[in-house]
Amino acid sequence: MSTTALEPIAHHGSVVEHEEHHGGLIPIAPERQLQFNRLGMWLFIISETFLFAGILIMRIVLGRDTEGFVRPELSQGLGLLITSILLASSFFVNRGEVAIKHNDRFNFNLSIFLALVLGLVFVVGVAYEWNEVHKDFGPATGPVINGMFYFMTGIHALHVITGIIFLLVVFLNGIRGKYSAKSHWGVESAALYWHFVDVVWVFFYVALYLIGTVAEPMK
Amino acid sequence: MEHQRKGKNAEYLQGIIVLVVLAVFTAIEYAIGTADELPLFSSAFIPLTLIALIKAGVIVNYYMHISHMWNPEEEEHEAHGE
Repeated sequence: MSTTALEPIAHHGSVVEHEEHHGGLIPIAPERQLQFNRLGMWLFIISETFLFAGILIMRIVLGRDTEGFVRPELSQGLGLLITSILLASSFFVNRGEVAIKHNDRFNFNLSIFLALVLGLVFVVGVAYEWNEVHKDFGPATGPVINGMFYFMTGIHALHVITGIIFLLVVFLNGIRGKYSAKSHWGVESAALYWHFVDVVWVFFYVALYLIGTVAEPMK
Repeated sequence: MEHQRKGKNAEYLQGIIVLVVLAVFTAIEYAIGTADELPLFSSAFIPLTLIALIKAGVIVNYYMHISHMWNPEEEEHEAHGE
């Protein structure tokens, strides 16, 4: 298998000694490195997808009563607002990626900064919603559905905070001029992660705010 | 140079179009989800799931560039040196 994998490298004549494995060296052609990076990032994203898919299945299975799907009593306006904010942040991350691909450093830094700010606003919005749900929390409002709300938004918010840290590192590196049109894998990987977090919220928003009817107070 | 500038503007424009498409779908979701007292949307699970899948597909394709993953044309930048 390794012989086959090495054939194109030998053909291109640009062998790089990349890592040690079983006492030998695995050569990776520079032109293949980006593909391997992307593959690694996508495998990570797929593994995360299993986690979030499991959580969504949990919501569908447990978030029902005899009448059908139920949902926690949440502020619809706030839900729409934070969803729009996260979508807008994805737009700015994409804009930043396009900008650095064309060596437009000003727009790159500005876009990543705006995405960062919007990400922070999203987290603040979720925290506010937590506080609102907490005020009404108790056996009378359905502990399962509210617990589900805390779990789903909590684990997603942790990923958003990770993404914010990721974007902050990219932003600081961008200010120092570390990225260029020819070298910006850090930007691409941060963008992939951020968009993935956005995709997860697309489903969580529907699952938490829109599907079903508001849970009746328990008697 | 002019060609490069046009390419950049086209990519910026595509990002804006994707954002507008996502906003429209989100508005439709909101309308369906908050109108569940209407008989038509008494079980909004299927339409809302379908819209969410479309939105996810748009993001994965246009923002995450999944179709370009193995595209040699996308390899204009190097993975080293960061």
